[in-house]
Amino acid sequence: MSRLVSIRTEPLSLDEVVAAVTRPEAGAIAVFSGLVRNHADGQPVTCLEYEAYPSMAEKEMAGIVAAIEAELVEVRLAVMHRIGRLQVGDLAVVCAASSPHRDQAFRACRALIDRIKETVPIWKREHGPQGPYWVGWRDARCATHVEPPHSGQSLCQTHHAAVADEISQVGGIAALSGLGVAILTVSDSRTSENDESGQLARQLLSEAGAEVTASAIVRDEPALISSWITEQARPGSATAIIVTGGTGIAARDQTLEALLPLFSRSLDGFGEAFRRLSFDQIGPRALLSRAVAGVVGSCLVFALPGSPKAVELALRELIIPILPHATALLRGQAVHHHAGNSHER
Amino acid sequence: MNVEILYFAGAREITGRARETLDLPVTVTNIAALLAWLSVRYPELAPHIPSLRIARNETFASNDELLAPNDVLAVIPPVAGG
Repeated sequence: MSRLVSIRTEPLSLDEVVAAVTRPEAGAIAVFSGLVRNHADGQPVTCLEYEAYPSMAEKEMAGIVAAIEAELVEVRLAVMHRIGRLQVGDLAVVCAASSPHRDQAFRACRALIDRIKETVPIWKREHGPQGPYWVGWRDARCATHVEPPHSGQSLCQTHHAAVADEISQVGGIAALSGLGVAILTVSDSRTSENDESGQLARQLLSEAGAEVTASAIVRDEPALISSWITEQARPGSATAIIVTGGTGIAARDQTLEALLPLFSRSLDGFGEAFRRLSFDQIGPRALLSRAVAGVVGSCLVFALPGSPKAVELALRELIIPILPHATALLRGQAVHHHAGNSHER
Repeated sequence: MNVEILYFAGAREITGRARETLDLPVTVTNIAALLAWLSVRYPELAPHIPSLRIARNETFASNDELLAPNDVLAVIPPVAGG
């Protein structure tokens, strides 16, 4: 059965909604009208802007209508919600419920507006003396803070200060900005002129907002590799080191022989995931790479094969996405913002 | 995997766009991974992640729901209809 369920930009008509539920067997019609009022949280409101995800909002409202009509038999519902810019006094939403008797009609109408406010993807931006803001948005950011006292102007100032604190704290975790990364190319033949992989790593990391704090090219000699890594992993130096080259199985491939003794912890999952992705690109040859990651001091070290393709794959798919959270964990600053997002506790 | 991502209200203002078509990294397989990935792509969105929901093809999705090619994924800030 089709029901009047609609998101509109034009002014709403109370009559149209009531007519949609009027029928001979219904002796009661309950109507709820939601209007734009001139204040919110003690602040004047001059106008409201409503935005919706219209196709989903109509589907969601139709689902609510069907559910209530199934729960309360002999009830019929209709609803219209307006979007766009509304002035004080304008109708924002109209709900109507008809039923043989008033009790069911009141209950159904109440349930309809309550559930619409809970789940339908519609947002409102209030315009007042503090400037426009999306209702529910800034408060959500402050969910972890103690609710400030509701006292006019100081409410907003307290709130904004709290928001600013949280952004600066979380921003450092979420982006690579502020992260220092060192890049080491291990090769007997590369020079700064033809170090394609090292330059690619620098470019990708810089684009992601990281600061490249040091870079070098060293020969495949374990002693040279270890001393450079140890130097860069000193406290206050790089938070991550990307090493390219020397991870194969030839006699001259010595990167792991240098790194493994330095690792206080190894991240086996990195090598596993890298070879899994690499297998899709180059097939079984992926198994000949000993790509590895581990912790040296409080610095995360990744050893990648020397090919530009491998460097791009590892950085784009694995390292850049995981680096913000991983380095925060190592520094003991991690905040578990994404409940359910990590299998580690 | 190509998906379309829609941004509404406060999320649209932070990202500066209403929609974009993106080729997701293979590591982004479910809703939780998508939210984490978006918080890296748009650092200003990160503080809001706990309050955001994702609608997958116009239905609210749980955190462990898997993504599929050509999904339409909408970033839904706290709703405020009525």
